[in-house]
Amino acid sequence: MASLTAQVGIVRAQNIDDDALVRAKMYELLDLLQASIQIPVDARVLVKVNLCLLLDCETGATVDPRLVKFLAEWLLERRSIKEIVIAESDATALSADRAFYGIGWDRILAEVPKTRYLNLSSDERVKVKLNGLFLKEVEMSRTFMEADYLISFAKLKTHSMEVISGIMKNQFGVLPEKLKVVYHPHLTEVICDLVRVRPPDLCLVDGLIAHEGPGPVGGIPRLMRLIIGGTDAVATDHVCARLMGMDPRHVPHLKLAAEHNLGTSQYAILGCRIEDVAQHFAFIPRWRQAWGWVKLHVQRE
Amino acid sequence: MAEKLRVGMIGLGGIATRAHLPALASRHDVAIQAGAEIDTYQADRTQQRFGIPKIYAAYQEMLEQEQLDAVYVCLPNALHYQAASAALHRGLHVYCEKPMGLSAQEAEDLAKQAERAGLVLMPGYHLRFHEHFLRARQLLEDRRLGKILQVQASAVAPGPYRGWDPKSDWSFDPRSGGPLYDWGSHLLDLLMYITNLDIETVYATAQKSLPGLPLMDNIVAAFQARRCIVGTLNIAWGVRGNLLMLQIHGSAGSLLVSDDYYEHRTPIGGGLNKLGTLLSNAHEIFTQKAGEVIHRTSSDGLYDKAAQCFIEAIRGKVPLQAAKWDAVQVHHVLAAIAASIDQGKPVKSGALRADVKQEVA
Repeated sequence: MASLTAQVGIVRAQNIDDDALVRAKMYELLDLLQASIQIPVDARVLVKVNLCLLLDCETGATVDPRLVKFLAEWLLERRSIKEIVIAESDATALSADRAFYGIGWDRILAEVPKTRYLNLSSDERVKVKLNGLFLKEVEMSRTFMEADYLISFAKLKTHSMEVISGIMKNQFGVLPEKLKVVYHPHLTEVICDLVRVRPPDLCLVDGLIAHEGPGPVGGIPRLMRLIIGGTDAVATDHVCARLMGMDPRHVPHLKLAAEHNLGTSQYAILGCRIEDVAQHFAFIPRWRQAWGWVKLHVQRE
Repeated sequence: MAEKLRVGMIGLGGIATRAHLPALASRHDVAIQAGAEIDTYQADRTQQRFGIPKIYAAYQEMLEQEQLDAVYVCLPNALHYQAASAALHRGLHVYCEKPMGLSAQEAEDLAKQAERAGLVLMPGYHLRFHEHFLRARQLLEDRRLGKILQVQASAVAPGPYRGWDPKSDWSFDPRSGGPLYDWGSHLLDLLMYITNLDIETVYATAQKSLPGLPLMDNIVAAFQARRCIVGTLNIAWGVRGNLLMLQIHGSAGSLLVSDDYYEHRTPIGGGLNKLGTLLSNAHEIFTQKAGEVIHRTSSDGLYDKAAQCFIEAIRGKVPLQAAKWDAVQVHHVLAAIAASIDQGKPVKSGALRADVKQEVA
């Protein structure tokens, strides 16, 4: 999957309550990347969103459904699309269905034709063999694996174990199993394995309202007004880390990805410059992180 | 306009002598040229204290005789509208103590008069300049509470029951609007200023705390606002405590804010965070209370900031922070609360913020 040089675009919407402006910015981002958005004719596009808990997007924990709607509209206008599948799987604590309908995604996406929701945990499964860092065989959703084009739509946020939660961490959510917590002792390796199983063709990150502190759900919102998009998961996460004021070398899954030549950390920035829009996020304190690592290694043993 | 802003004071009672005159007297760019006060003892005392060159018994006479740029309306609540209207009619900028009239129509009429004449009309919402409330507004602008879901706002105080200097009898006159138009006006303005709340419907009830009083002074109102926000307003005179507090609850945290307390409750930090908040507030309460004893008249500089804002708006340097159209909106909600108390059923607010602003546009 590694490309020599990826592209990562950043756009900023000054007023995030202005639907027309946010839509225009989403279009601007996709237009910036459009040469790289090579979707087969009459394609089934799967958009893996981050809907981890029953929390609205203003908490900074879940993706803003408006952005997914605008993405779907752009795809239908600019590409030949057979179907757009908006997908999420059950999390340990909550079913994806409850989150999807509870937050009201169905109402927002109802106006968009050729679009349907899929709970990856309820879909037919296929076995995938891989020589992964941790996973050797894994069951995946058939629709996910057979999609013609995969878009990962993540949220810009911190993560108490993985430091940041972006595109690569969003791949963890494609596992159909509900009890994903059992993989936590090997989270970094599993994330890299799942990026390898089915790398996203297009990576989008909702950074309108981000999330800082003990993420991915226990922190507080941070207004960033950004939408980020890239052609490579690793490159996009590099940019996300830098936008949050974090050195990508301190992000475990980015470090592991670099060691195993997964993705690329060579990228060209389109749109806003990182230094103009980056902020210094609060991450969990080092001592808590260190304590987490101790617990993790005990669990591994 | 003269180099110094020529100001006339309409009413030289408690709010003028405690708050506005000290703020204006400390400025080099203002000349307090005249005052109007019907109470001769109060007029003499204030004239001597602040060195006001000329005092009139009737403000109408002052407006006729003096060459002024602006006036401060510091009369009892029931007289605000007539005085402000007369001053605007004479082409003067007006700082009008709250409430800006006693009905939405009066407030709207004043706002339109000022708009037509290109004059500054500033309602006396000085609490907007308080550091805590400014911080709260910024916190909400930065979306740190997530989606706002619930608001509880309380403005309770002993009111005029324990005496407001120099005279508080007018406060008991039902024509003054009682605590609803007095403290309630401040409370609603702060709430709407901080949260951008657009109240659609209110359901209110009220009682008298003392049976022989002519006022409904114990008021509670539940409301429903745009964006699925619900909340309550508690307004009371007659209680011993003195509290103006907003509790704002969002999907990502809560904020408790008053003039001497500020707490942003988040999932972060647990006990250490709580301890930090308590220590910070304890320090602030101690220093503020100590400050109050020493500078009882200063009100922490809020009236100075309000005067600064008013004068700079007149000189065209800054847009007005406490805007007249916000006051109009406050009055629409106050009217809905009063109507709901009378009718015993939910009442829709006369106009939403968006509508009022559109009308201006």
